[in-house]
Amino acid sequence: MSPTKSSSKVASSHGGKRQGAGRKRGSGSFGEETKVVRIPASRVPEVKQWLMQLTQNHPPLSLPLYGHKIAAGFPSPADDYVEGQLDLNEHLIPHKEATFFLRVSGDSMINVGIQCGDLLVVDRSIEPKNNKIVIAALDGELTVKRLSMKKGKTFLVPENDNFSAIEVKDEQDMVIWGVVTSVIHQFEKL
Amino acid sequence: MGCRDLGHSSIRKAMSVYALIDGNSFYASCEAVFNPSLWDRPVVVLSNNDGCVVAANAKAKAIGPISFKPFYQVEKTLKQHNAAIFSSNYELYADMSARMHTLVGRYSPEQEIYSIDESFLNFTGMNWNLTEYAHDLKSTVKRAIGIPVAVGIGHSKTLAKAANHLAKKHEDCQGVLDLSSMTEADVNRLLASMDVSNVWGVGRKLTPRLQALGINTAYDLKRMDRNWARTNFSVVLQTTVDELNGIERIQFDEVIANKQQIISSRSFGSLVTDLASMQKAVATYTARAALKLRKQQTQCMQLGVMITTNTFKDNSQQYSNWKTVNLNYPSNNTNELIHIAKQALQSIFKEGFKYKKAMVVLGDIQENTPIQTDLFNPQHRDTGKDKKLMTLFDSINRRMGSGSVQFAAEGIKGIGTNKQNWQMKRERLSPRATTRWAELIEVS
Repeated sequence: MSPTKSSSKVASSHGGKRQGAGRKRGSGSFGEETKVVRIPASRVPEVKQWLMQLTQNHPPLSLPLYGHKIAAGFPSPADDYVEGQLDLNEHLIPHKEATFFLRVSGDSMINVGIQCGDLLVVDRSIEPKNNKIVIAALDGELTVKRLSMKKGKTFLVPENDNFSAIEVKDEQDMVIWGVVTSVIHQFEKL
Repeated sequence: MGCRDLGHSSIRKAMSVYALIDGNSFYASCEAVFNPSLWDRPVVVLSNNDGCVVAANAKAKAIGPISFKPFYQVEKTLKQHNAAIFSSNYELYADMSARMHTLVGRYSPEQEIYSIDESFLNFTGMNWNLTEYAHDLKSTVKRAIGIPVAVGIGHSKTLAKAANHLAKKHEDCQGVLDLSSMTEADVNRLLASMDVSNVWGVGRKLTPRLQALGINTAYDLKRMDRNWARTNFSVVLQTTVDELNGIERIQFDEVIANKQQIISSRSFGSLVTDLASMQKAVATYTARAALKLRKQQTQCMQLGVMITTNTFKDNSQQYSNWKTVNLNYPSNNTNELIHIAKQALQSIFKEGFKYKKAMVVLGDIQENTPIQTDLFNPQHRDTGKDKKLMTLFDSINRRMGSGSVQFAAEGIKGIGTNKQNWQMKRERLSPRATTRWAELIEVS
């Protein structure tokens, strides 16, 4: 009787792997299956930090503002200690140097929720691609429109049924000034 | 014209290599970023009180010799050519400058900010194609902030400056020239095309003296005997001759001052992680800059603090930020300025980073005016006679109404409550589009 056979026999009758036991695959903080690897001891902090960044970049994961869970009973004195503050700049502005704010006038983009008086966050370092909302410099003015490139033609498309698309002809020199990454609409002016 | 990379990078060996990066007609370029209607027009910017033309874009320079001319002399000509004319918008320029320096600083572990629109990078030991590298820098800055820059590279700072000058002059360089990768003969040919008056360190006084000796070009100066230069001219000229020969001689002052701004900065010997040490450093730099301000009998209206980690390294977490504070009235008072600098630092400092450098920039500099001299005579403060000053301070407030005079530190929160009293003529000011919510550019 080979040892393999013996162990498989034991496994099938006493203990061992049970169906559905343990943590679900991919249920960890990475959202996928994980694997054990060997890395040099000196590089552990680096790798950990890198992994941490990975998980932080995962959009559905929100960071806890306080370390404590909300629980009934006595409040912990540690609750006053804020471990981290959420910073809107961090959230909205990955490229500080290349980011500018512009103010919207008019309602040519109303269908995508860009209203008169709103604040636009514009990142100039992002590549302007088809369908992005962009700031374009056209005939000496800055304008916000959707960039549309079809069959070798370039259009600046307003998001308002009362406006028609502008076809950018060669003689007009149109320059994409930046890409709109967010619109900030305040219900209450503070 | 010698702007090709000749692939002599192996010759570089251990020699130093520096790059000088500057913004083309910086002030005029800043005005144009937010205003596309200026892109094909002449643009000029005027000095304080709208006195002189201090910046002009290429189209404006093409009109004729207008730079540094009093405005009233050239106003008619400029208007005939449909030129756009602006007062100095220091807030806008300071903010765009901080953005530019931050972007540029990513291209080297060592950056020396020389003025509002110029900085040196140390490229020593970077044995890759520096022309391509510089083009990458140039297009990154252009894309991120819309400012065109030129890059000059050479074996000394003087050569880097010269290369920068040549890069702008020769169109086929497209704003980048690397002298360090060229043969000596090619470098000489280029230097021979450069007027000696354009060499860094050769001033207006020196030029005619050199020309009288038949030294007309940068190449002529390069060939001058260094000992002869010292005996017949000065140590300074000897330094320039050495530098043109690729021998590095110019070290940087920790405090760089000119009429537009005073920069006080230093890279830390060891990385700084805590706010207290950072505050000490920033206070020291502020004190040095303030001293310089008083020495040249000027005051500033603006103070900026910039902090950065070693952004060139990309294997650790990076952070850099800046804060510019506009004072409610001009000051050259060390205590006040330190106070403001510390507050500015506090607003941008983040825990958990290893900081490599801090910088204090005093901007919007103006001459002392009589009433201000009375109030802020450096002697009052430097001898510690704060009491006397405070008495004076209070008596003015009593006579002219409370709040006539305030400490600038109080002014950080408010925007120019009391400003008009001190403000000068700035009739053609463009919106402060990057620093004031109320002045954002509108798009429809």
